[in-house]
Amino acid sequence: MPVLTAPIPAASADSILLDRYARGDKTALDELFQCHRAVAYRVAHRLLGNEADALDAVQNAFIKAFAKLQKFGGRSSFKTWLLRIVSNAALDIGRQRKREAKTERLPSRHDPDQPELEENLPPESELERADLRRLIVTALDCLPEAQRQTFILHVDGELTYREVAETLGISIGTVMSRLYYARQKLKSLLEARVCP
Amino acid sequence: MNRNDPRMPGPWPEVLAAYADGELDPRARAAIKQWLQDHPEEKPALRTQRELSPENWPFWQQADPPMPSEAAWDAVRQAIHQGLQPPTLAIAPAPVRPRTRSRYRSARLYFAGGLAAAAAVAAMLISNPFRSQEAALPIVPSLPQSAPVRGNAQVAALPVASESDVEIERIAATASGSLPIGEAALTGTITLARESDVRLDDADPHPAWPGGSPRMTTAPGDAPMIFAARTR
Repeated sequence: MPVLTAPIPAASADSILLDRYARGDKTALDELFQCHRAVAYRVAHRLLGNEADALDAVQNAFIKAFAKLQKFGGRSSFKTWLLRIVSNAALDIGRQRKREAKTERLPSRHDPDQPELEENLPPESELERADLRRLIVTALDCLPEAQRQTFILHVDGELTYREVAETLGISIGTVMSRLYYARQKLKSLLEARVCP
Repeated sequence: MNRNDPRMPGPWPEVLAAYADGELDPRARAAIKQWLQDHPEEKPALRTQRELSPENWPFWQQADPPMPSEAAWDAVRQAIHQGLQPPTLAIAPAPVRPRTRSRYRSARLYFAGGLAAAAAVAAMLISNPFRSQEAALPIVPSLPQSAPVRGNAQVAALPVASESDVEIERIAATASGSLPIGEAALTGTITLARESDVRLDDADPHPAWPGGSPRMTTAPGDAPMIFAARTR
């Protein structure tokens, strides 16, 4: 007789792994790392713009998360808790980098070599994709930190409004407001290809 | 329905963000849809929200960063494990480390501590109220005879640090003929242990103890010395 097994929801799977880790099973950490490393990296990379710093942020965040696991009360999902630590770690590194050197600015506005931003614009080569990433990171860098963090947690962290609100300790109305004004400003920055 | 209509499911125009992201419930969504049909001039604002929404996944997919190599991930994973290991104390022999200020400070602290302890012992020996009485029996640890004798204190110092443990990185220009090391001489004693911290497990009988056993007492100033009580 065939046995049907329902897939375990991600949050439950995380709870099982966290329980295993708490009981001394270090391989559970590897499995949690495997599950969440990509989304953590996307958030960190969008905040920092390069692989080395993003990996540093992910590494620091995982160490901090597991070192302070007793503070994770399970009120939110492990993913939202981890992404808060990741985004804070990335912002810390970003501030440090800014102190070390000025962020590279985008080319001046109305650069004829720059493609127009259009919905579903398909960059055809990795070079164009890299340009687009740089453009977005630089434009994001011009946003206020709270808007930037909110926007990236929603878009790259794939968190719902409620999860973003839980992660940052703000209301859903504030999430809505930050996202609205972040997009308005991003749109103008991306069209102008320059930060004020 | 106007912009201040209480039926509006959120502040205008911020609610457009939630509409673009599909975060509204069906009733709220229908209300906004109707509003937008009645006010086409608001559609550019909605278009901006949609263009930069995760719903426009082709755009964000193009902008996704390439994932690191498995080797890079593995290095991060190992670093995480390493970072979570409990700190361990170095066991002698300590590895050779580069000369750093922190090492100098540690050595200086130990050295100053040794001097302070020696000064405390000296102060106690000099001011011992039982000294003139033969019955008084100070139970003190025997100081190593090979320890160097400090000119000022005239007592042997505890060998806390040897010369090779101390690195002098800078000497102030004000040094006039002598090399000051450590902190200023103690003006009193320091408390290292109180009576309650000490337990005497065994003691050889001594004729000075008429009761057959010594009595513990603190030294004057609660100094780190253990004296047998004065015989009665």
